[in-house]
Amino acid sequence: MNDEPARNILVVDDERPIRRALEVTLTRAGYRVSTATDGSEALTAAALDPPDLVILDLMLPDADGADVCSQLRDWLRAPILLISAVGDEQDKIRALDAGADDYLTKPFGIGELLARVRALLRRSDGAGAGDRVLEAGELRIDLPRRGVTANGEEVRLTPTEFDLLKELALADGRVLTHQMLLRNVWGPGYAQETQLLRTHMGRLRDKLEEQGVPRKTIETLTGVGYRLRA
Amino acid sequence: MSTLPEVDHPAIRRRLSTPRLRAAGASPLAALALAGGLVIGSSVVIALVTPHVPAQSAGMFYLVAVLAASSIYGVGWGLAVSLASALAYNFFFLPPRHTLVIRSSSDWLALGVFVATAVVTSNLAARARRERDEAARRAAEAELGTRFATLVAQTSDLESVLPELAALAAAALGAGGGTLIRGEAPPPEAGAHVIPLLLSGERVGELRLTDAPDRIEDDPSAGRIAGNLAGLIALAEERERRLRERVQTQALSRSNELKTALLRAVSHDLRTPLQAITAAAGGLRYAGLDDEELELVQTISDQGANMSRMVENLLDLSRMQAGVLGPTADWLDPRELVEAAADRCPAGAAGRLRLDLPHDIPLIRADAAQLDRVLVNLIENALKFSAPDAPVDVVLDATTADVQVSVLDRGPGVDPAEEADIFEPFVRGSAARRVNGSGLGLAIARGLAEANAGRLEVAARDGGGSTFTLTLPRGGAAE
Repeated sequence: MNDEPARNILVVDDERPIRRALEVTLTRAGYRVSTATDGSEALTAAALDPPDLVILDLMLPDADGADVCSQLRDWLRAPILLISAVGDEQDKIRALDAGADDYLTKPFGIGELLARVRALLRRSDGAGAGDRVLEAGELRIDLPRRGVTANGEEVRLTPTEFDLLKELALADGRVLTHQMLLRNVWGPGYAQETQLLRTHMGRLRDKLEEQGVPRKTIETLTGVGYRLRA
Repeated sequence: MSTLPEVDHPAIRRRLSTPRLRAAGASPLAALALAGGLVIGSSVVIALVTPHVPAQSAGMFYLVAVLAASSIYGVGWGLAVSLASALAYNFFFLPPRHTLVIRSSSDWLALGVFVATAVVTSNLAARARRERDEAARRAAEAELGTRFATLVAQTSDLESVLPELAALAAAALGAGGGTLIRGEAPPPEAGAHVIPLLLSGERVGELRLTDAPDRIEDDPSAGRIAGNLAGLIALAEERERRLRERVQTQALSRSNELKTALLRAVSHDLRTPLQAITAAAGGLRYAGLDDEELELVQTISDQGANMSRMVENLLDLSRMQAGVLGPTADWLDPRELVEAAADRCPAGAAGRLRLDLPHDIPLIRADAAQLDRVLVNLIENALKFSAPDAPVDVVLDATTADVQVSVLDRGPGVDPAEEADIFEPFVRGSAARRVNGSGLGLAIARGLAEANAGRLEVAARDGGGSTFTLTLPRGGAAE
């Protein structure tokens, strides 16, 4: 498409019919697609031809999806989109903690897949990195000043609420698991204190809602984590 | 000695039997002979020393005889020796000699002092003997107790050490043989001595002795040994019970792991073709098809998605019935749960959902993904059964004990006669027959609610329709 070189997507899935369906569809949508059937093949393929995005099935015959994520993350900055089954929450969380960016639950529609791929690629273009003022919908988050405005109005947040919002905004649409948020906002010793997270998240949403920001601007991924909708 | 069985524990045998041997082995003739010998011996010694010592003082040599007799044979023999000594003293040494007559008042005094001293000495010596015997007996019992405890501690099968325990106890009590019986015992054979094993007054078994000394049942040692055995047996039985429980728990968890693994494999096999169908049909939408072709592709996609939902429901039902739902409890904000569930409902339905979510609802402890399925299920049901434009209300409420989520619709309602049945798998209410579905949704929702210590109930709504209420305890499910 256009004159730019097509973006390279690596599809890792052990089921041939699914791999082919994704390959054909993504190719038609204008991407260059390479494929791998298991974890070790995925690592080789990614090393030979570094992808701009990886679509990774969590359930691989030879490896744990989370391990593949963390091995890729050692040297690859490209976003990783997980494909997982219903009920694989724990595997999903481990893979997200290991560096995956987002996930889709089977069975997903192709439209949904393409939307996620576009969003991930747009973000990885790196426009957001290093910004001192972050924007998400009606929200403007001024990092140096630690101030937040919604539709131009100041939102009065406690330091914890601000840090929580800042983490979500810095993640730039990536999924943050409960543990990631607890570790980054409260500290490494707090990874299991979900009570804290629930309570502060509730208050943060209440305050944003009072300023006309919809509650679902911070999306709940039940049992997994949160994501800020741009 | 010959009545002791062959128990290889000389220390216990020696120490427990020592007092008994002395008492039992004291034949009156031997005692009489020794007592006589002692009196005669003392008399000879006094006769030898009287040329140098006044007779009044030399009489004290008889006290040695009194002391010896009472410490060996007890106070009775001590007194007998005292009396014999007094007579011999008088007869041989107090003038006029060789008569039992006493003239001088000082001699009367000497004899009186002697008798008094002899009686006191004999009592003291006898008491010292009793105390020494008792101490030895207690020490032997303690040693026996240690031996019992070691035997019981080292075995995993109590029954196998009962004969050895019984033999030890029998040997210690001077019996020819012993048997230990746990629990209810058959009537004893003739001639057996039965010592009940009592634990806090409750009979846990009995010790039977053969060829035992008379009245062994009344021996305090027997009572204490029986008490000791009762305690150890109870302890070992408790340990065996715990061991059995642990084995059962391990077996159960292994079978649950197996079921979980099987269901996981089955679900993977069922889902994979469906995902392939959905993905392939999705890809065709970018293949430049005409409208009719696109319609067929859409049918494939939609029906694939329906099929997926049914497979998920069947898998959930299997997990429920296999008892392997295994909720992972975490702190949850009920408002957030309801918002997230409402957020995932079909796009067109968003405007029909009215959420009433107060701010002061406490956190609950439950499995987020499972409650999410319950709520999505209830909300989708409510939307499906109401008129296409009718609103559906979701109301959150908290009492001191519970948090309640109610989903209220204006659908056809549930026939009161069917209220209990609609939560059974594959049962569909009469009102539901017009609508697509498998009859699994409510069964699964209730199963998931109960797995999280909650309840799911339906009630008729004033003005038509139904209210489905999910009630969850504030404290949450126990881990």
